[in-house]
Parts: sequence; structure tokens; C-alpha cells
Amino acid sequence: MAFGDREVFRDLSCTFPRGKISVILGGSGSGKSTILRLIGGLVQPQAGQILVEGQDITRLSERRLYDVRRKIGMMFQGGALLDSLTVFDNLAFPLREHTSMSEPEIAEAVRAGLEAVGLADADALLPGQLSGGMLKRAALARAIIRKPVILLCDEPFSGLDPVSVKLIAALLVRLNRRLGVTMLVVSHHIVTTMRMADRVILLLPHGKVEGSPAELGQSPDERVSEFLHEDPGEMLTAGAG
Amino acid sequence: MNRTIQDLGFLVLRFVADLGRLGLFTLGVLRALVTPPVRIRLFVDELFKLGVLSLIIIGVSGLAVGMVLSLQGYNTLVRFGAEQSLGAVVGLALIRELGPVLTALLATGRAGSATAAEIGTMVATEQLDGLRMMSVDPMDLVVTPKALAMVAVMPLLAAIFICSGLFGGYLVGVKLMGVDGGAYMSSLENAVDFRDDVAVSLLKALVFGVLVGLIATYRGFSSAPTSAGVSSATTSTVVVASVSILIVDYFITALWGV
Repeated sequence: MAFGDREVFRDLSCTFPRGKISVILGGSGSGKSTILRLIGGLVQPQAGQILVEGQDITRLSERRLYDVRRKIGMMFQGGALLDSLTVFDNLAFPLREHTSMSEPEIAEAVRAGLEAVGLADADALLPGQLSGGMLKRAALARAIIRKPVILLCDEPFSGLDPVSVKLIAALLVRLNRRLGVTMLVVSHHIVTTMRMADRVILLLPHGKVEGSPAELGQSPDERVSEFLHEDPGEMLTAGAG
Repeated sequence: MNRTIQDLGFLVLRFVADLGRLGLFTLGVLRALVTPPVRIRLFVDELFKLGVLSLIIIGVSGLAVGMVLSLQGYNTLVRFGAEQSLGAVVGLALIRELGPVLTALLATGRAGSATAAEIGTMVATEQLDGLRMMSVDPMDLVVTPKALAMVAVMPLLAAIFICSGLFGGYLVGVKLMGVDGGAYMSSLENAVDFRDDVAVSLLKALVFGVLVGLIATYRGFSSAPTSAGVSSATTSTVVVASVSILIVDYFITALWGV
């Protein structure tokens, strides 16, 4: 996979088990977010296959991709909320576009979604009026409002206070355990993500290492232990949270 | 010398590639136009943003241009004792040329740049990718209503510009310079033909609307996802659309004699 002359990664093969939480870790520029964008069909690889529920999405037209994306929710790093709509309308938007729900039903679903992320009072605000943490939570609420089969989360914890980190992590785990949503989480928040992950993929400069959090924690590979313990500050934050 | 030829070749290739991408983009807009859902409300919102909010600048500019045209026309015509033809001079200049062209240039500066900046910001903040992930085509939801609204408002804005200009010309010519009001109006009426002048003038404005609508949305849509990308999209919209308007105006005038 490359953008122009810049190669992001080569010969990468990953499997993300159905119904599990897979966490992708790696340094800046290692291609973590690009993996999510590849799975969402937002960028195309130069070669290779991307199978989503057995379907190779690299061969699909944009129209056919929309059908695949109906099963996928994505929480973007910056929220990607429509800035001209209120938080309520942002959450209602996918329901109005793709369901035949009545307005009272939509309002009920939106309120439930906002309550789940602790934003019940923020429905009338515009995205520009939200704090970073509120924006992330609203983005998560929008990503899950259509009950996706697969949820892609790009840095869901960055810029959040410890309480919000715990809230979002708990919500993601609850979604996964109760509804069996397959999750792919890209994060720098090592402690939090290692706690919630079923599987971890660590992207390193010369390849990837994958396994369960316990397996990676006991890995004799120096690069792995160095990466997993590189951020004592974050561990303190997580410990305090 | 070799280097210059290489650079020239590169520029030509880039221009052709850009033209090809614009062609594909136009096909995308046309496809979104004929494919459901029809987004009437968004189209009306855009009509308001691009049209109604441009009314003051168009009206005032038209008035000023008509006044200047009348003053200059009077000073020239009076030398030949032909000041009774002032209405025809002001009317034909405004209807045939200045109305559609200046309206398109003003609309490019006000509405075209705003459109490019708005779409470019949506690219930079991943809002368009967010739409794609919600299985909503940005061409359908964002681009087409804006491009279509630009096409629809341009002839209307040009008509308002021309009317304001005619009124400004009348004010200066008749009220200030003392030209007979009846002579002003009758020379205007005799000189202007509806089909050859007015209809083709509005057609010109329609073509300019297509140009500005496509260039502004395309530049915003294909901008780099950075603040510099938004800035570049805005600037290039104004530059490319303005130059295109002037060039296309020449060809329309040459081909149709208007």
C-alpha cells in the first residue's frame, strides 16, 4: 500500500476474527488508520485482496461498496460529524437516509444513542460547540446507531480525559459482548486497548506481530516489549482513571 | 531548452489529466442528477445561499456599472449629437456582454469560492469520508445540489444585474445628464431584440453557471485534506473559473454573434 511514492506497508496479511475486538497498535505513520480506511473501501490498495465477510471489496464499484458499508460503522479520529447539523441531526441522518423509521422512532433511537455515550443534553449543539471528548462520543454514537456488524474505531481515546476513556472503552466492550459486533480499534492508548482486546496486531517497521494481549505481553521480542512499555505516562493516566 | 520542453510537456499532461478528471466528475454529477433520491430541500437551501445571499452585491454592482456606462456613453455620444441613443448603448452593452460576464465573475468571487471552501473543508475534516461510510454518496448529497443551484441562479442573477444596470443608466442619463426619458426608453426598446439579445444573454449566463458550478465543486471535492488544500481550492476556483468565463464568452460571442 502506498500513497504516491511513499510506501506505507507491503505484504501485509491480517485476519480480524468475527465478533472479537482486534486492536491495531503501531508507531505514527505505520499505517494503522490506513488499514481501517482499506477495510472501509475509502482507499484502494495497489495489489492484494480485502475480504469483508468473504467478499473482496477491492473489486467492487463504488455503488456496490455502499451495500457493504451498510454493515460497517466507522468512528473517525476527528469525529467527521457534519458541521452544519446539530448532534441530534447527525445521529438521525443515517436513520433518515437508510431506514423507514418514523420521526418519533428516530428521535427515540437518537436519544437512546446519546444517553449511551453520556451526551443526552448535547442534542441541540452543533459539532463546533462540542469539546474534543464530546465530539468523539457523538461520533461513536453515530457510528453505532444503525447497529453495524463491524465497527471501525480510529483513535477512539485520543484527547479524552480518563473518565471519558473508561466510558468509551466500557461502551465498546459492552457492544462487543452483548451484540457480537466485530471491532477493529486503532489506538495509541496501550493500557486501555490491551485490557479490552481479544487480539492485538502490532505494526513494526519490519513486519507485524500478532497475538492475544497475554501472548504479546510475554513476547521475548524486544521490539514488542519496548513498544508496549514505551508510554509510562499513559499507564499512569490509565491507572489513575 | 530540453528542460523547458520537459516542463511544458509536464504542464500539458497535467492539464489533460485534470480535464479528464473534470470530465469524469461531470459525469458523476449528471448521474447523481438522474438517480434517486432527489434532494429538493438541499437544492432550495443552496439556491438561497448562492442566489439570495448574492442579491445585494449583484444589485449594487449592476447599478454602479449601469451608472458608469451611462456617464461614459453620454460623454461620447454627446460629441456626435447622438445622446438620444444612450438607452440603446447602455442596454446592449449590459444585456449582451457586461450583464452575464460580470455577474458570473461576481458570483465566482462570492459564491464559487465559498462553495469550494465549504466542500474543501468537508474533505479536510473527513466529513465526505464519513458520508461514504454511511453509504451516502457525497456527489449526490453535497456536490450536485450546489452545482445545480449555481446553474439555476446564474441567469436570474444576470437578469437582476441587467435590470439594476438599466435603472442606474436611466438615473444618470435622464435624471442627471438631462437625456429625454422617452428617447432613452424608446432607443432601448428599438435596439434590444428579445431572441437575439435577451435570450442569448441568459443562455450565456446559464453556460457560465455550469462552468462556475462544476469548477467550484470539482476544486473543493479534489482538494488536498489540509488547510492549505482548502486555500488552494478556493484560489484556483476563482482564477480558473474567471479565466474560463472570459474565454468561453469570446467563443459564444464569436459563434453566435452576440
